[in-house]
Amino acid sequence: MSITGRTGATPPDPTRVRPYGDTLDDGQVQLSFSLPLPYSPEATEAARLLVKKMGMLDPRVYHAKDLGHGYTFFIVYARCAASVDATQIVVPKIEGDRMSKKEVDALIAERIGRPLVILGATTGTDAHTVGIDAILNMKGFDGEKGLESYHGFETHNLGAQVANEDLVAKAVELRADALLVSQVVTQKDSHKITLGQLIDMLEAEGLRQRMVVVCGGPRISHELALELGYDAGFGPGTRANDVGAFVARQVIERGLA
Amino acid sequence: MLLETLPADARRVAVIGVAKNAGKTTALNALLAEADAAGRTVGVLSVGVDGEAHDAISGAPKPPVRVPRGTLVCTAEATLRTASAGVEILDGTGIHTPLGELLVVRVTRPGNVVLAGVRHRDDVRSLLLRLEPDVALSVVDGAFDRTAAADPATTDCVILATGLVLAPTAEGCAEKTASLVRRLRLPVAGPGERVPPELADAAALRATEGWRAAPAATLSGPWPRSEARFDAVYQPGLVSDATLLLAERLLEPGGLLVARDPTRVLASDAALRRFARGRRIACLDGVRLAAVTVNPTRHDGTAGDSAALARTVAARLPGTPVIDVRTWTPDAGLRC
Repeated sequence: MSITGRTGATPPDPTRVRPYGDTLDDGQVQLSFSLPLPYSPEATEAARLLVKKMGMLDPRVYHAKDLGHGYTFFIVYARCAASVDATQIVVPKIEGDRMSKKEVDALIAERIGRPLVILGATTGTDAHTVGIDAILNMKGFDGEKGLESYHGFETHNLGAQVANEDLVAKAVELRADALLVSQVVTQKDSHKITLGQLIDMLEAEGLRQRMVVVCGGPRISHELALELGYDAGFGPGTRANDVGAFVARQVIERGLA
Repeated sequence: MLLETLPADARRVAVIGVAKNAGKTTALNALLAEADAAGRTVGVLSVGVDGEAHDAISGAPKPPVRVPRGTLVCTAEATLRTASAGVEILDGTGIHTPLGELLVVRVTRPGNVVLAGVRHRDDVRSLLLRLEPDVALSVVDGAFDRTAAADPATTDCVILATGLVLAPTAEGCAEKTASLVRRLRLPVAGPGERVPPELADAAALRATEGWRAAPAATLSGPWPRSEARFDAVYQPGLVSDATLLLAERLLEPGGLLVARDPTRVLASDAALRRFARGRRIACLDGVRLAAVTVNPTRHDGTAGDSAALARTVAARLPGTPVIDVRTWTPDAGLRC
């Protein structure tokens, strides 16, 4: 495959996928990053060399901005010679058709016959409730109302920086059917430690098999969630009806209600 | 070498790690290859996901899980599409996961598999019962730093993988490993300290008249206010920092908290130290630690001296075999 890209109207080849800029397969990418160097021609050259060392071809520094305090921000254009075979990729996904709020409520009313108790929290040191609020609270997100507005759920939003053991204690007290855990902003991968510890605590308490446990956040994939012992992981763009449908289906499939 | 460390009566072994990327998969592969060389058929499953090509967090390449011919593997249906090992499906388990049904397969051609789909202890126990008639040894692979697979009601013994991902120096790694091992080796309650089996499913209290059921099933939930003191408290579930504070309030000075087993004790080191100053803790069942494996690779991809790491960890764990599996695992160790 030529690195300069194709000129004809040839179809994309999914077995050799490469970034697209001006023409198919030309490998054009844009990278942005900051370096701990004062704004200078030397810093610009450092940025260019760094991108070259990443294996990129023909790096060009398009934009450099002095961030102050000896730091500089860069936008670099370059060409990527690597390609991937997209036909060989298998990514675990949450299966099941999308359901509306009305359909989720109807499913719960018909198959479960009582509201499911859901506890939500942002755990550990994370203080960002934007994700859990979007899923649980009445106002919801992007025109989709939160689970608080559903007849099929009794929701308890415990807020931010909830210790795992407090979440477990509340789950015992309220006889929770499902836990939603959010991790939005964490440092040094502390989210995986916090998330893993919750599962160990639920196992220790003998609750894990009795409830649906899901997590969500910008750094959480479904695959990571499964590895951590959760039933599902929801990334950015998830809406309340996605989570509600998953929880209801899991409760029914596993006979938890 | 790993196989020799297992107690003679062990039919179920857990392989757990002190942290993600501590070398658990490498230890698992070593055990599988060694059991194969010894002619022992193994059944294997993972609580979590193992054998995936790349780390779910860092994206770094991960070692595959290599399974010899004849191995029984329990994994979710969707993972079989990526297996390089040849497999025949023996049966379904009826356990449905987001990755499809958990299946039991037999390896017909050695190669790599991804282990996934098993989410909790109850599933592990039922799957082990399914595997056991057909295998000499069952291996439960843990996930991340989770210790649930080591539950003595689930597995007979434990292989613990540790490494420089825990701390960049051998001394730091040994210190943290020793701390975890101390927890796994919490003392077992003596004959006079054990809660009767008929009371062991819920919290119980012991005063002069003996054990009796507690006013709540667990110390982890709401607990009625009371000034009464007891000489022993039994907690069947989670032992957390809050549980220890409640137990301290319920116990006479010098009193005993009985946990079900060490995998339920997840309180912080600081809370455990504080508790131990005036009270004691013991478990109904203990964890048998068969061996510790060491991995010299750090988070940043650099590697330390594995022999020095093994020596340093061994010095902190007298009586426990400490093994650097990478120095002896045969590359072509699969029986074909």
